[in-house]
Amino acid sequence: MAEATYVRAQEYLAPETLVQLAPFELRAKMIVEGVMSGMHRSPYQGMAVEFAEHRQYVPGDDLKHLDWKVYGRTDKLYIKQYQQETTLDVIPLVDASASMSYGSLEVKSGWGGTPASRRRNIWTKFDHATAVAAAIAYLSLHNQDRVGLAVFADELGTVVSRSGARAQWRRVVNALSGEPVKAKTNLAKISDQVISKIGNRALFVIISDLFDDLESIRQSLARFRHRRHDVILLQTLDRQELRFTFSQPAPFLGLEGEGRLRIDPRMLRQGYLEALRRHTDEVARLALEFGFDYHRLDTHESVAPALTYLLARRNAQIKRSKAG
Amino acid sequence: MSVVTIGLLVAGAASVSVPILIHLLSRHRRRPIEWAAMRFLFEALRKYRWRVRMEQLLLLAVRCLILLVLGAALARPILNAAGVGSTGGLRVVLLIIDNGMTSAARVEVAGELTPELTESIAQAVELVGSLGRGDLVGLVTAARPARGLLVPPSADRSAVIDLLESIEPAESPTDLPGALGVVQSVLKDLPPDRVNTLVYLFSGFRRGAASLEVPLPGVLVDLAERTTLLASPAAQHPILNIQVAGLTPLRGLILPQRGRGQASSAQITVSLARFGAPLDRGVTRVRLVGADLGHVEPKVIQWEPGQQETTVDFLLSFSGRGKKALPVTAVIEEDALTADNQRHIVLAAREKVRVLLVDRRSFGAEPGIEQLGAGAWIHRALVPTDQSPMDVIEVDPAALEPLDLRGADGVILVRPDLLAQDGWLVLRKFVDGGGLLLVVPPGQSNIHQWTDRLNETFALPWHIELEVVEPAEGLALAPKQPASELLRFLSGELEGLTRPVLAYRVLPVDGKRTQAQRILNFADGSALLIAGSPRQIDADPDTAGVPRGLVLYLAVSPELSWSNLPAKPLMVPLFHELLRQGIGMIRTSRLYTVGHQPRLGLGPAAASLLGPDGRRVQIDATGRAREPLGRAGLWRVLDQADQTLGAVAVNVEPDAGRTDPQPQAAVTQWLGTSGPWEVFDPADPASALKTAQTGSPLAGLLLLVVAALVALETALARFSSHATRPARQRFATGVVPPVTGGAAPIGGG
Repeated sequence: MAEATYVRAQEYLAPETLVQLAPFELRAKMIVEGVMSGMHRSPYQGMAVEFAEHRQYVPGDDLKHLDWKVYGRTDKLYIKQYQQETTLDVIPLVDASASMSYGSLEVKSGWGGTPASRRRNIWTKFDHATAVAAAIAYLSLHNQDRVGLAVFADELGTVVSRSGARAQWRRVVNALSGEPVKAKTNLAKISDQVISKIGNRALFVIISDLFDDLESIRQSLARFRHRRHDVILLQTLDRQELRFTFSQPAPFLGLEGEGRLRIDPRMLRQGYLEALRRHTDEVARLALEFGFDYHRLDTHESVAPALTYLLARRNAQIKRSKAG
Repeated sequence: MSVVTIGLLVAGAASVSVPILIHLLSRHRRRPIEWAAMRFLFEALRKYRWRVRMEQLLLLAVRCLILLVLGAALARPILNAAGVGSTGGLRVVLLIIDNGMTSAARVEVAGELTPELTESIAQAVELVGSLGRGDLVGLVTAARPARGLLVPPSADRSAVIDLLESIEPAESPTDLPGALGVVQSVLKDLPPDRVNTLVYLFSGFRRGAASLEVPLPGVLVDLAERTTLLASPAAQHPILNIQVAGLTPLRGLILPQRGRGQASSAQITVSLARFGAPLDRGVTRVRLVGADLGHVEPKVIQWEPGQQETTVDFLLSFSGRGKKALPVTAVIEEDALTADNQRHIVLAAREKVRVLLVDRRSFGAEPGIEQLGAGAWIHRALVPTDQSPMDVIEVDPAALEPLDLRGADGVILVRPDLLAQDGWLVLRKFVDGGGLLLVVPPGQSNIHQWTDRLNETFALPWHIELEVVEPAEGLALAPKQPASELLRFLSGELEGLTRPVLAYRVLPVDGKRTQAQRILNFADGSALLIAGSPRQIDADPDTAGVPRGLVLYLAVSPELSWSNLPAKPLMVPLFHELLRQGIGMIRTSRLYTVGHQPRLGLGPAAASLLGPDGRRVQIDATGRAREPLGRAGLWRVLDQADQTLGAVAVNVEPDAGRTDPQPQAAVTQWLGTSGPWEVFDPADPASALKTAQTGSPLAGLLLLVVAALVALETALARFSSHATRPARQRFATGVVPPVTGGAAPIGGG
């Protein structure tokens, strides 16, 4: 079992992925509460090594935190405050609804994937989502952060409790080795279930095609925001879904029980792309509205470049906020 | 608008179903695609449903239209005509092939005797072979009845050549006016873009084919602007042809000879004619053959130099007893034309002549000789002894029925004043069927209103007075009577026979208002006996030469109060000859010629005719052949059960065999009345084509329409397929600016 897990883990973490992700840290935009010292800033100031700000001395303060340099220049007593580097709880939420089983790309060597995709020789959106989740989990554990996992559709499926242990990554990978279920995505319901299990604030990485109602997505993001969690929305779409390049009339069969639709795809391409664009635009707008990150992934592209871009952008935002 | 190859047009129309079928079939043969983003497809479909449907319908309509127009275009056909790989283009060439009887005349070509028609066909085939693939060719045969063998014109040259080579000389004469009429109708039906038409007339213009005395109708004069008329040169090779021009029996009705058992005899005169040249001294052997004819010794005719006509008499003896039709055929040796080397006739034969005497019967004691009525005198005249060949049956005029007339050869109407309206119609039908009717005025009346009914019923150009005229001294007959076929056998003694006859009462004919053949005249010039055939109700050219029956009118009632005729020697031979010759004339006047579609008058039982070549021609309800009789010979008349009812003789027209060549100038002048004909070079009949114009605006227009439709279809297909490359992205400037660069683009790479 251990050997099998090891092999799968290797497939999830392609060398080029690790190489590209290594320079980045998965920093939360929000300062979260950590129980272990890590690279993430803690709101509990005092013992940490990184200076945060000055405040006037009040009786009872520890004198060792007095800034004598300021006192020498101004004759006023100020206490130096520091931010503590804390650990980060990173929880990928992987969508395993029926729509995630779509794929139009043959599985390539080294891309990993689920047993189902290897059987069908198709790289599905779910495969891509699990690869992304595995990469994020590996990176987080590498940064001494705690990592959890939830696989969902209309209900919570497999859940991996948060942990920073070395064996945690394998548990995550094991949990990702399942298959999509024949159910629709229900983010609003899932967010309720997840939030109820997480006491402290955490970074949720929602990896899904987000083929859900916009209202459900909005409710979900609002609840995360309300509980002051950070969220990264990774909308995972197949390239065929993004481009819709079918050229022959054919019946289309909905994976989530929508029925059969006989169309000439060339005729509907423009309308389809407009509808998809409206949906993704709206999701992105909702993410922006709640202060979350949104990124759209193409399953035909490697996981690493997209994650690299995302992490770099987050780091840049954090540095800008520190400078400000 | 006419098309040449209607099949291609139909195929084009049928091919419209191809895209529809493809559309329908393609709906069922696709494997379903499992798809996740159905919500966006449904959304797009809701928005674009009508637009997509309209685009599809429009595209389908354009594709169907392309096939339809292309099919119509090819039906012309016009691809080559528009200059695509062809030197031809939009020319219409109509070929008139004279396959009349003289076309079978053999001329020497390269040391071999070849029919002139063969030479004409060879020229026509060469001409067709030189045409471009876009040219259309029509074919008209000129033998009567002229017919369009390939009309409307076709682009299938191989089919034209096959048709040309299947043409054989007919036994009917050339009907150039008819052929030109066919050509005229073809030219008028051509679409206006067919401005370049050529009419080729292949004929030797021998006298039998071109009667220069009868001008041609100017049917092509109006079409001369866009039509080139080209005729072959008139044949100049003299061809000697001898024909059996006539076969005339002395009596048309054959009766058994008294004292010779049951055998019948007849005298027949065979007329021969020579045409062409050289009319040297020669010998012709004439034979008579017939099924019921015993051996007849052939006769040899010696022709003197320059002699064109001659006759020879045969005395025939028939052995067949009880037969009413005796066919006889005169045959001479083979010569340049085969068709006119025979002539046929069907003689009518009777054991007795059956005569219906329509008179009011008298009962009681027989009156004295002074009171004998006309019927009684006529009965006595017809049956003077037991050996008489006449069988007289008396019928009351009020009870006359069609059944009474069955089997009757003649009717003598003594009491027309007592005939009912139906009786007149029965007699009209009898005469139309080839019967003989003799009408005499009723002796008891002074005012004769029945004459109006006679004129109305038979539509005779006669005017008989209503009132009897009583000459004071009695009216004698003219000493010099007109020559008449009816009294041909009395002509030698007629003067002596008529001299003692006097008429005391006469129901006269108004000579000024009557057009009739005079048989006997009174001394004052008025008519005693006239004859005529009922006017045909429908002007049928095919039956114009076929008298249906004969109506005779005797202006005096043959009883002693009117005339002393009953008591004179003229009485018996007069009535015998009138009946016998009249019936014979009617029978022998039924001359049917090849190429006509005659009304035969053979009675209701006749259903079809079976020709000498085994070909069957149906007879319609009016007694008319449903199609022209194409072969000369003895045709059997069959009933519905294919039982033989009799026979009719069909002969070639004597003039059709005239092989005399005619001067080119005269022929050109004669042709000129129908249009501006030019003579083409028989060695190079296609030379005129080289100067002909090519091209047609309609052809080009049709191709342009097809091209425009194809372009439209391409644009529509591209538009409706939405195969254009979409804009790169609008996320760069959209409402979600943060996701740039690394975000997967929608709609394109």
